[in-house]
Amino acid sequence: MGIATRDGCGAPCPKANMPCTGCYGPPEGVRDQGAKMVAALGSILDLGEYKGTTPEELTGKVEALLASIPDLAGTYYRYGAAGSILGGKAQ
Amino acid sequence: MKRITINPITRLEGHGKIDIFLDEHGNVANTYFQVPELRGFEQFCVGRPAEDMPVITNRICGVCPEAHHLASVKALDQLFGVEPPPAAKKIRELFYMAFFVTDHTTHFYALGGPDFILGPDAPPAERNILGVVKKVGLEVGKQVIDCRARNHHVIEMLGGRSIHPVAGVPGGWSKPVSAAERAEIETIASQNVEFALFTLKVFDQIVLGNPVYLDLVLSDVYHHRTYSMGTVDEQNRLNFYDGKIRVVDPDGREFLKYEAADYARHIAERVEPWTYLKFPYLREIGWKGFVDGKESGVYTATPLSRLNAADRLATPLAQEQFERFYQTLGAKTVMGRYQPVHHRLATHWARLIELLYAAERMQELARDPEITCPEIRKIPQSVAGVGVGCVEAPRGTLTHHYVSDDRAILTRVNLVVGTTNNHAAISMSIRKAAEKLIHGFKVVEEGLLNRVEMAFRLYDPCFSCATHALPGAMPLMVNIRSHGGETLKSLRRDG
Repeated sequence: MGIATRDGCGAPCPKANMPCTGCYGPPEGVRDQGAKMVAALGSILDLGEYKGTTPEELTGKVEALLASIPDLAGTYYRYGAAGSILGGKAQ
Repeated sequence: MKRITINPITRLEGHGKIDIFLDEHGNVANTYFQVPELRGFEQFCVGRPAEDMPVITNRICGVCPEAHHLASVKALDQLFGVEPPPAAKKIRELFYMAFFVTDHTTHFYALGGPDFILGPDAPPAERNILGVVKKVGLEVGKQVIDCRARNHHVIEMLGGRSIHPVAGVPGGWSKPVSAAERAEIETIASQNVEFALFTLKVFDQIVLGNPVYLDLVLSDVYHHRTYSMGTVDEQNRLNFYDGKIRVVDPDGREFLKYEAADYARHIAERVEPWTYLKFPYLREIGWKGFVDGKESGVYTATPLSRLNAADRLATPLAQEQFERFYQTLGAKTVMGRYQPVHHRLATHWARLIELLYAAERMQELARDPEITCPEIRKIPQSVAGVGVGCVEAPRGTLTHHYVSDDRAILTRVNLVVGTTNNHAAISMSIRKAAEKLIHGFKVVEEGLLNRVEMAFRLYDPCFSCATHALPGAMPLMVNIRSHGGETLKSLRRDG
């Protein structure tokens, strides 16, 4: 998650050969860290051979990829879901 | 009926509340020890990938995340059907020993120790870690802080982070130990052994050398005959990281010995409507209420019960202390082993013997040539779907039990946490202390209330773990209520 979340921790988890889970939350100016992560991953996702595939088949491939991530909210917002992305105070 | 409420109770991790009900004569009618929070890890972890659990469950607690981390990776070893290489197991245990040294040190000097070092009647403003430093000297205070710092450094070196470690993975450990790290850990382990011996000397002088405290330790108030649980190796020696779970009866005869995976066959859990925390008991004996003795399924899993359940300790200096412990407390032998000690306040002493054992074991592991072996991981190839992981947490046997689908997505999670094992015994200790110390509306004095609190504090309870609940602020509130529940008096002090 490090590419979409705040640094400053000194990257202890990657240094211990473990993936970053984004415990410092969104960086300044970012409201939706999960959307940023999806955007980052979207640019490197490999759908395989797509020439000649119908739009329906392509959608199916994307759906299959998404289904391989079982808990999107729990993965992309593990430490940040408690913070409101709407901002402001309820009156 | 009068009602005395001690809420929240202090110097434990987490949050608890004690209600003491008096009858019309002003004697104790009943006590309720309640843990009023619920955090729900067992629920919200369902649907998560199993391999996330070592990092999620270590957030249950900031005091003993290492215990949850290891119970969790051991459960994952099973769930993925992989046996970690020997070096990985040794690194896990080494890491765990560093944690035990710091955790037991914290309890003695900061949580349980103030009651003894300053005395149960000392004003609460002094009866804390700062009071301890004042009494035993600044130099000792510095040593305590140094001990915690150097061991957290080891935890960070091995586990990746000093508070919530990340290096445990199914089938092993994510990071090998370098030669330089090993040498540094060996030095730290030797310092730990010195520190543990010093701490035992402090305990000798302050507690065992003081007849008043010794009487308190041996008094009937803090005496309970229950079953004792602990993890032992193949020679029935205590082990914190791995082995079989052994339960001995109040007379010291082995009652059960089982693999962690079989825990559900031997342990059942009772739910009471007035608290979120469950009451585990021995299934074969059954739940007979909050009573001790051989006929009651109540057991404890504490430093004291771990010593009671083991035949001996695996390291030489700790074994010497083990012998001295049972001989001093006058335990007889049965079937070639010491009979259990049931004086609950002796748990503090047992904890320090465990501190020495952990330091010595850490030294042994740091000197093991295999500890720097780079083969630390076996990659899982399949999903077995069920895993049970057990370690001895500082506060008692900790069990993580996971069930998953064939993609290793969790479908069921059960956690039996160290403190939970002792919930019934803690309730009984509090009741007994209250019964002995409150008679005929006698004015509740500070030291008296604290003695009731001492009854739970000796268990080093961690209710944030046990209910997986967040700790609140820690002032002490006392409500004395009339027959109809009307508050007659409300006392409050800051923790």
